[in-house]
Amino acid sequence: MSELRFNSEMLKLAREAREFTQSDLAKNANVTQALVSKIENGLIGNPSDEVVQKLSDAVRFPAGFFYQTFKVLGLPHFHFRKRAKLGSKALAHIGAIINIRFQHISKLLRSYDRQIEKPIPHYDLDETGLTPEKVAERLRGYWMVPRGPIANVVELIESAGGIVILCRFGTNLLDGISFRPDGLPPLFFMNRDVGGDRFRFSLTHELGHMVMHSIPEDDEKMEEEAHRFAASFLMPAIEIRPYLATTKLSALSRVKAYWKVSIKALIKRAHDLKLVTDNQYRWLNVQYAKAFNTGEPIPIDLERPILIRRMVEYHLRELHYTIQELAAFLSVNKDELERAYVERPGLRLVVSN
Amino acid sequence: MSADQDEALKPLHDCLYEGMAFYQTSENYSAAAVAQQRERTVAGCVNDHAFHNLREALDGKPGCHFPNIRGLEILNFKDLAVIRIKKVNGAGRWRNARTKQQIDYDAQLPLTGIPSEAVRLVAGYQPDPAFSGVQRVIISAPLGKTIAWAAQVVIIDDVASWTDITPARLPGTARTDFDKRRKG
Repeated sequence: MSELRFNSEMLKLAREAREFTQSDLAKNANVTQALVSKIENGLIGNPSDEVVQKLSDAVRFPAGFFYQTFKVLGLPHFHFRKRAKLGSKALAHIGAIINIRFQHISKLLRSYDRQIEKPIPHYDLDETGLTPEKVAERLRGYWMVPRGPIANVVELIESAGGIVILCRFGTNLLDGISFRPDGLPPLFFMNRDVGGDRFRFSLTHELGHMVMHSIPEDDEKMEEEAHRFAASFLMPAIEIRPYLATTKLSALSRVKAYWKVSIKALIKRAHDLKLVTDNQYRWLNVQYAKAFNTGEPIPIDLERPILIRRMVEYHLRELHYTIQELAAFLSVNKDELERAYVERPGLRLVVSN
Repeated sequence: MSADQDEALKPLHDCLYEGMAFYQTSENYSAAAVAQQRERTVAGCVNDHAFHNLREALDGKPGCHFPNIRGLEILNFKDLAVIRIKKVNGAGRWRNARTKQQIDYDAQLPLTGIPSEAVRLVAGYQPDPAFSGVQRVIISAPLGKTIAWAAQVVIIDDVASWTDITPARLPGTARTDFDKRRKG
């Protein structure tokens, strides 16, 4: 190991992934906080093998993790559904999770090729003069999505070359982040700790960003456009309208089960389509808050990505990697690799941080 | 509690829950079909399944009969009570098309095929706001446009009991339909 260069950014990443402060890490590794700080800030370029091992044990990443030459990505400042209360510490944790997953995917994609017939297109709203609703309609047409509810948004995105990664962000204040890294397919990092209906809407919202926004603009405008795209893509006006003829909560619950969108989204859609007045909309929201203060009924199953699992299986079966070799290649512990990506009979665990 | 009550309450309670559960199972009703149904269709489906369950539970038991009085399906329980199944609100009230037969039933008036001494009751289920489950089971005794009494059926340790929940009325307001007045 000693001839390789220790990458201090990877130590910070590992620490943030485990939600450790420098002090927590020092305590767990039985070293001083001063040492951790100096290593992270590059004042100690190559710590001893003994220190590296201690740090490795504390953060539960193999020592090889620290010697990777990856450049740590900053979070894209747009393209994510964020609620305002999300603090910087939580964002750092999420950033670490995303960077680590991003490294895994970059490595797995080196040996995994696939042909995409209809990739995720880009429509510039200013150039084309299209509205988000029109873009949603065109995309449904381009991908030949059948009329009615979309059975599986993840499947649609994966078949268009996107990669959906379920993550535990440790908070429900952030639903998803997406970006298009150089030389890689579009990536959608999605919070798995939300309901299936919200997950679908958030993922479609991110798809909207991917399809319509390539250059950062006014954040509020982009969010609004992505929201309109998602609503139109999941609930095309002409198709959802008959289902919103009655806007009683009980009727919307039945519509939810079929369209796989939240009752809240249906109420908003009914208002956007002017099927209810402003007063009715307010009244419905009051009723909603009273009836579903502990959460919406009719849970929708979380959609499971299969592409990453396929890439891992390809390495194991076709390229004859052992689990240990693959873990070393990805710089994760074997148990963590299995927990995160390998489907075992009887288990459907496909994600973990 | 009398043996008769004991015998009737649990099947009534269970048939309503099971009727709702049957309706909510996607193998029985697809999400696509359910999304297109109106409230009265849903209530009708649940009523039918609940009544079917009730028939399965009590048909053949001594004193239990299931006459169909010109389309009105009821349980005749030992000539003591006749019971129909309805969706109700929290006060135990229900809605009906106001046919003469229905008006007479609710007014406890004589009806062909129903023993005159038997009290007319409604075994009702109050659905949750999403109509995805039963919130509670209420037995009500209609009295014209209002109710004489209502009682909630509760199961504890597999034993059914009922608790009076008749809405309190101020003197002189016994026939007032507060729900209707509230809705304007």
